[in-house]
Amino acid sequence: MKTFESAAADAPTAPDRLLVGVSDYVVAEDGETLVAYGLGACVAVALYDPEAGVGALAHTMLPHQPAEGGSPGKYADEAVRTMLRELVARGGDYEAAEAWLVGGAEIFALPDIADGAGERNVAAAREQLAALDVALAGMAVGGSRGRTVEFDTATGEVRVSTADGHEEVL
Amino acid sequence: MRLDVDALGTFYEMAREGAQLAADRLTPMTDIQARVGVTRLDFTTGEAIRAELDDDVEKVGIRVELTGGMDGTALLLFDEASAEAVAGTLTDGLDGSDEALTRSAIAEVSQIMNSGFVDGWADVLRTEIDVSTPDLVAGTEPEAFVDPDDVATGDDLAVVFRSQIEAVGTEFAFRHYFVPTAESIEALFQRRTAGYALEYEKLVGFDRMAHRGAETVAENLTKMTGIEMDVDIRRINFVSLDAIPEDVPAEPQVSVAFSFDGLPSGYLLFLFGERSARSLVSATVGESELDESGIGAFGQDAVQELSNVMASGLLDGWANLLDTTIDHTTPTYAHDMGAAVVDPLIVGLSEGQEFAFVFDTRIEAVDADIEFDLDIFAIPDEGDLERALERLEVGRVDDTPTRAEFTAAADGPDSEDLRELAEMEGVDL
Repeated sequence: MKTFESAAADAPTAPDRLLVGVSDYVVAEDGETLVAYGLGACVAVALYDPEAGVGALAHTMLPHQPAEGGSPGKYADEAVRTMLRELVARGGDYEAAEAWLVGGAEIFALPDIADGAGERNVAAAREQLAALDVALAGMAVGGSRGRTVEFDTATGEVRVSTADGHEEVL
Repeated sequence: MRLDVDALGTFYEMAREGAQLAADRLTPMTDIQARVGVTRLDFTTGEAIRAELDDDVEKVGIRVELTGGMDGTALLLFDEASAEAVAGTLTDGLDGSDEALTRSAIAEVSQIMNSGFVDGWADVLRTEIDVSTPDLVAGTEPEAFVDPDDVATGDDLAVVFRSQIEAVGTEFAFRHYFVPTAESIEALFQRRTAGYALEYEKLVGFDRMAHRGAETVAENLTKMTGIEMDVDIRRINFVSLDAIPEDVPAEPQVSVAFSFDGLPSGYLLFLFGERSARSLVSATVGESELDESGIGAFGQDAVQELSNVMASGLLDGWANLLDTTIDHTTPTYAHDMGAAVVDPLIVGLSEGQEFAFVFDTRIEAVDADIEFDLDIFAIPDEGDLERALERLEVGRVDDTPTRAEFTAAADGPDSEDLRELAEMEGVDL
C-alpha cells in the first residue's frame, strides 16, 4: 500500500532501533539504538552514562526554549536539561554523563533562511553542557551536508553518516 | 466559514493524540511495537481521496460513522500483508489461509484501534462521540471504501484527519482517515474564536489557483523533457512544522530551494529523486553532462535553472491572481537526504510559528514505466498567507490567467529561449 513516502518509514529499523523525530527526545536503558535521521540545521544531542548504560538522544530544532515553555526536545538548551534529569532519574550518574553533538549544517545558502541557525543550535547546546559541567565527548557539526546519527546505547557508539556514504564513529 | 488557526492546531493535536492512543492499544494486543508516523490535517478533494485509495493494493479494515460531538466517517485500513501479520499475532501464527478468521481478527484490532482514535479526539474536544457498528470493508478500488457522493464532491474541499502508524522494525502499512461533515467542522470553528483566521472559501479558491499552477508546471515539464507529465497529488496540509521532514522521501534528493517575498512570503522547494534529476538533465542538457557520481556541474546548473523557470511561472501565476507582487531569490541547490534538505526551511519558519499550511504537489510521468517524479512544497509564512487570502477575490480565480508564460519551455529542450537563458547563466544546454 502506498501511503506517504516517509523518511521514518523508509529508514532501516530493527526492533531495538528507535527513531527520534524532530523536536522529540528518547531516553533508553535497554540497549536500544536511537536514530535521528536527516539532520540539517537541526542538532542531535546525545547523552550517555556508560556505567549505568542509560542513554538519551534529542533531535532539536531551535537553540533556546522561550519563557512560555514548549516541547523540551525542540530546544537545544532545554533538551540537555530535561534529558540529564531523566538520565539521573533512571539510575544514571550526573557526573559520569558525557555528550555528543551532531548536525548544525548549512544546507542551503539562501540569504534569509534561518541564517546561522545551525551554528546557533550548536552554540546553545555547548553552552548548556558547559553550564552543567557535562563533558563533550565528540562532535560532527557544521559544514553543508545532512547527517544521520545512530547512537547505540548498549555500547555508547555514536555513528554518523552522510548521503554520500561517508561514515564515522565519534 | 473562518478557519481559526489556533483551533486548527487543536484539531491537529487531536489527530496526533488519537493516533498515539491507537498505537498504544495495538502493542499489548499484538506484541507489535507501534509508533505514530505521519499525522496530517489535509484539505483535499473527494477525487484526490479516491485516487489515493485506487492503488491496486488489496486493503482491509473497517468503516464507521461518528455522531455526537463530531459527525463524520472514519476509515481504518491495513494493506493485505500487514493485515495478515497483525491477524497472525492474534491467531497463533495463522498463515493467512483462513480468510474468514483473518478478517475477523482484523475487524477486532481495527475496532479497538479506531476506539483509540475516537477516545483521543473526545479527550481533546472534551465531548462525547458515538461510534456506529463497524462495517468490514475490503477491496482494491476506492468504491469499496468511500461512496463517491459522500465526500467532497466537485470543487469542495474535505477536511481529512490522516494518520499513519508504523511498526518498529517491520514493513507495516496502516492508515486511518477521518472525514468530518462540513456542518461538524463549521460547528467546531464557531465554538472557537481567536485573532487569526482564514476564510475557508478563500482557501478553496487558493487551492483551485494552486491546482492550475501545478498543471502548468506539469505541462511545461512535459515540454522541457519530452516526457508526458501529470499532477499526481495536490493537497493543502495543515501540519506541525516538525512533522514536515517525515513527509519527504527518505532517499537522497536533488533539491532546489527558493525563498519568496511579498504576499505571501515563504519558501518553495523542488525535490527530484536522483533518477528523475538525471532524466531531466539528459532530456535538456544531454547524457554527456552526467558524470559517474550523478548530475555533474552543468547538470546541476540546468536543474537549478529549469527549477527557476518553473518557480517563476508558479509564483507569477499566484501574484497575477492576488494582484500583488511576489519576488523570489535565486535558486540554491543541494543534493542530500530528503529530511536534511527540508529541515533548514522548517527551522527558519519555526522561529515565528508552530504550524504551517503546506501546498504539496507531486508531478509524475504518465507512463508508469518511466520513473520521473517531482515534489514541490510551498510553505507560506502563516501571517502573510492570511493577508494574501484576504486579497483573493474568489470570483476571479477561474477567469484570471494564472499562467505566467513559461516561454523558455514553449518549444521544449531545443527552445531558443532556453538557449538564451543558458547563455545568461553560463550553462551549456
